Amino acid sequence: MANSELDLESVRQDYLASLQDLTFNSKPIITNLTIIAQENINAARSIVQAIEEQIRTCPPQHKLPVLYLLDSISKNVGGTYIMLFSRNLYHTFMDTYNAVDQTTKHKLERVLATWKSGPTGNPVYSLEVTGPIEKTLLKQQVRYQPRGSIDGGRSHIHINPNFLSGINQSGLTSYQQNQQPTTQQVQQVPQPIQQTSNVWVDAARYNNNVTTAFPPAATLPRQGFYNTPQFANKPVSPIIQQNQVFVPPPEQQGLLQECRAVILQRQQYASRNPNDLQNQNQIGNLQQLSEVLQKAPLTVEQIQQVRQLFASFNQMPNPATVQAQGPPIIPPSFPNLTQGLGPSISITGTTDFNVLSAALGVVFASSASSFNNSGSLITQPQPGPIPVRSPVQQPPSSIPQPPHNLLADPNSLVKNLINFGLHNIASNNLGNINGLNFTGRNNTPTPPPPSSINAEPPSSTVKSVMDLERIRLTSNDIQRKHEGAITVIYDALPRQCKQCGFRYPGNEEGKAKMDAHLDWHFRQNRRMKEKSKKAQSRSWFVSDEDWIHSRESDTKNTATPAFFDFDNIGAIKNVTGSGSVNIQTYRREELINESTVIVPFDPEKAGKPCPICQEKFQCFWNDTDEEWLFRNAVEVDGIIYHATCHADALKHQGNVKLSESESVSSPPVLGKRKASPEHISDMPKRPALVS
Amino acid sequence: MHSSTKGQANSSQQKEVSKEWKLEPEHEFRFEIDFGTTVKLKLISGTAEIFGTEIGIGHEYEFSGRKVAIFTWHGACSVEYVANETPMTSYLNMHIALEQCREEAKSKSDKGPRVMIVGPEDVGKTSLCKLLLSYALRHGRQPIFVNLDSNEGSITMPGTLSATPINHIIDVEEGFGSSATTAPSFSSSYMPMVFYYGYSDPSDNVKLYKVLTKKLAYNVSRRLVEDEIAKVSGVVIDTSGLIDGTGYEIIQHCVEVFDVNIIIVLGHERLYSDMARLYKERPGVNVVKLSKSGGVRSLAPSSALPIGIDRKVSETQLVKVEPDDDTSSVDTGKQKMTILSPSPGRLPKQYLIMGSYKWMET
Repeated sequence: MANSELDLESVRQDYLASLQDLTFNSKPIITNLTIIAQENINAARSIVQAIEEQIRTCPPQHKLPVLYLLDSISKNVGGTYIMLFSRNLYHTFMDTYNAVDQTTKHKLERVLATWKSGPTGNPVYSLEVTGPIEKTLLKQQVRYQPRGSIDGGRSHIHINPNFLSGINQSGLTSYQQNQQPTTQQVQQVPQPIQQTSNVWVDAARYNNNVTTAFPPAATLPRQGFYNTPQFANKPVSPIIQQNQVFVPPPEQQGLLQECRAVILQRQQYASRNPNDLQNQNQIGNLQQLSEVLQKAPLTVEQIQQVRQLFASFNQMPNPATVQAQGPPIIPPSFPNLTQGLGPSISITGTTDFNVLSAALGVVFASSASSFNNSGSLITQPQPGPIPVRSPVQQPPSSIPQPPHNLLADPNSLVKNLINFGLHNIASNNLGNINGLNFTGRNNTPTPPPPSSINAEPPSSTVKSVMDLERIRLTSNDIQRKHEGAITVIYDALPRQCKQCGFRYPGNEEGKAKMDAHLDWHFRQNRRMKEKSKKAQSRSWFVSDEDWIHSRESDTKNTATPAFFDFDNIGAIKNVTGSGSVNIQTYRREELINESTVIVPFDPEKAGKPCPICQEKFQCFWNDTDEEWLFRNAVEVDGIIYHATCHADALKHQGNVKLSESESVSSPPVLGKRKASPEHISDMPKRPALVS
Repeated sequence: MHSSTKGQANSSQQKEVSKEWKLEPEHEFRFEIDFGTTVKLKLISGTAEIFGTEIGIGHEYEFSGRKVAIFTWHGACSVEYVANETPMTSYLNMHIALEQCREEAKSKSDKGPRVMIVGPEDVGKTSLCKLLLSYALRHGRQPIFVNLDSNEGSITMPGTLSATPINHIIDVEEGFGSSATTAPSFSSSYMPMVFYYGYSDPSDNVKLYKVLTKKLAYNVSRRLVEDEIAKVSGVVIDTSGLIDGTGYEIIQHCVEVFDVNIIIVLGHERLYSDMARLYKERPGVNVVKLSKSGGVRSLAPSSALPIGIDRKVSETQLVKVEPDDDTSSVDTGKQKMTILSPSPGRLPKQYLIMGSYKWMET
């Protein structure tokens, strides 16, 4: 028993450790953790503990993914887990709910809604469990609409006979999978405006992975739960949605859908690039926009304005890399509707316009905010790069509906637009730029995965300045705004160094350069560390010739710039000119006679003869060096010899010694030079020394 | 696209004040920091650049004794002290145009654009140079920056004329960065060719100025012959603000020796028309007018003057060193001179050049 308890504890620890990775809404992680939970159903108690603990202790922004895991386990594994989670579900849920921001709250509400109705229509958690939560939410938030409860009583509507069998058979897949267009029913049965919000909720939340036909569960082995048709395949019945307060006019709805499509794509992008906070912000802003769109009637101008914005980036070519993700199913033609909607509505790619609009109008929260799981803007999940039109053509009922309620604040819409930069786009008329600025100029420190790099439309459209129109060097042309100019210096260079912000192109060459650049940073930082304690000093400037011929490559200029390196080159190169002993004399004996030594300041030393031949030194004034010098002299270990005498002496000692003395002799020479200026004052007297 | 910037003033009393700004697209945020005060700057989100050098997100930049202007192409939500009348669009266009010239030069294996920026003082000539160089760097160019304004050290020190291949990112914290030091700094150093002119004004010694610029230009042209990247990338020349009669003479001289083919006149209408007239007959020379980096009107406090207005803060920062003995003295009796060397070891040459620059201890 003790053993098994130990095991349980270790399972808990392990699971808790795994949970640390779940910091964002990640399909693979959630799937994986769900599978683990299923496999360790014996240790369900520990796992539930671990999850609850994680939800309790992790930072607010990480709570939602864990709650999704809870959701995933509840729905995919169920059984014991349901029971165990039920115990604390109220606290688990409410703690999370109170800790998170508004957007996340909506997502949580949607999760809650699915618990009440479940994918099958059967409640995942009993009303005893969800009821109190709902009540509290109602108290907390007047705006909260208990969608689930409405449907809760009608669970028979959502019967999905495949659900139960599907649970066990279907592997747990993902929250994010490809979009598979359309519930058949929704498409084919023109729905009255009212629709059960739940369809929408679920579809929306799970990335709208709605499939048309729902094959028997057996044929769907290991199919992802969240994109399995259970959700989609609900029989749709025209239920009057009591909570509906405002149905946006059709135009606005189209707009809304586009907006959501963008959000969806953003979120897909976000799921792949969870570090991109900017993107997250933008999602938030977009969601606000969609909120406004749903709740407030807009003027015709406003609609037009927003539409243009969306249109501007929808027109961009989408190198939809993600298309490969899923078998795209062309939505059944539904002329009058699709025309109005345009394929841009990737959320619903599928859904009946009316149904959708109703749903939108009703369940505001259920819409955009929970598309965590989806693709990115770049990756239009639609089959084929259908040129996406904004639904401007939608002719009917363009009369803005009078405001049913609240929130109708055009200003806030505009503000929202500005918030997420659309305004910018509009004013710049930068058709080429990804309207939302996300991808191209995303500042994700980590380079995006290859697929998304390729998928960045801006970089693909404007790669070089030559793609732009030629700017003539006239004052007029220079002042004008040119499209795509900003793209060239930002989006065309998607690789950005995290440390200094420098950009490189996204191609192979750019990658190589970026790597070299990072190496350079690394070396530089290391050198900084090593040498930070050493004194710094400026180097001398280089000479003309050195400057002309020197090359510093982009990243290899790491060597200490020692242009006058006296310890090495200087001693050989400049010695003659600067009046020190010419070491080269050892190599070229004919030059020995030209070797000189600066006359020492110390008169006694200066008066000493050469120790070898006992003759005095010849003293002369060197104009170039502006020094008094001994001719034919060399100084070794502080003693001055005649260079010739010294060389002769060395010769006898053999070549080996010669080289030694060469190296020995140089340092004193350099030291000597330092002392020499002090002797300048005595110089005029010293010509007397000349023998 | 939220471009919010966080500034953290860190005064000597270690009192830290942190403030966050949000910038709208194509807005500029300017600030000036005294010596002895440090401001840390962090880009929280979005994109922003300082004189064309993009700054990284989350990285903390530290400024002291400098004037800084942060510009954003993609921003949001404005707050106070933000200039919205920036001529950045035209500057960017200028860059694009130059870049197109470079591409063209590359295909023809010709020389890239030789740009000279002229204009009165305090219009942001150096800032424009930085911007153009920095943008050029983004495209993998390595232009040569020629500084003919002996007032500003830019890369080296005041009183000099210099030419420098710009081959790596311009350090936003140190302006152009410092020329070679033996110790590595964050950005590695540049290698300029420097001639000491010794006066702040070209008219003080026109003859010497011309000799030096000619020599400089000769060396630059020799390097361009060998250096393929630099050849295509071209030359960007910063000039002094002298635009009187002598100034015109000098400008013409410099256009001649550097083989300038694009003259950018910054913020001076008359100079532009004069230049346009002067070079009307010369087919190879384009004269372009750009407005100065203005937006002064929208700047409330005097401390937020646009870049280039205040001469007190020069590019080369003088830092007091305190050696053991007196730093420099001349003992005429002993004919001995003690000087402070910038670098250990022997002096490379026997000659010292004297100039009119003095450092007044304040």
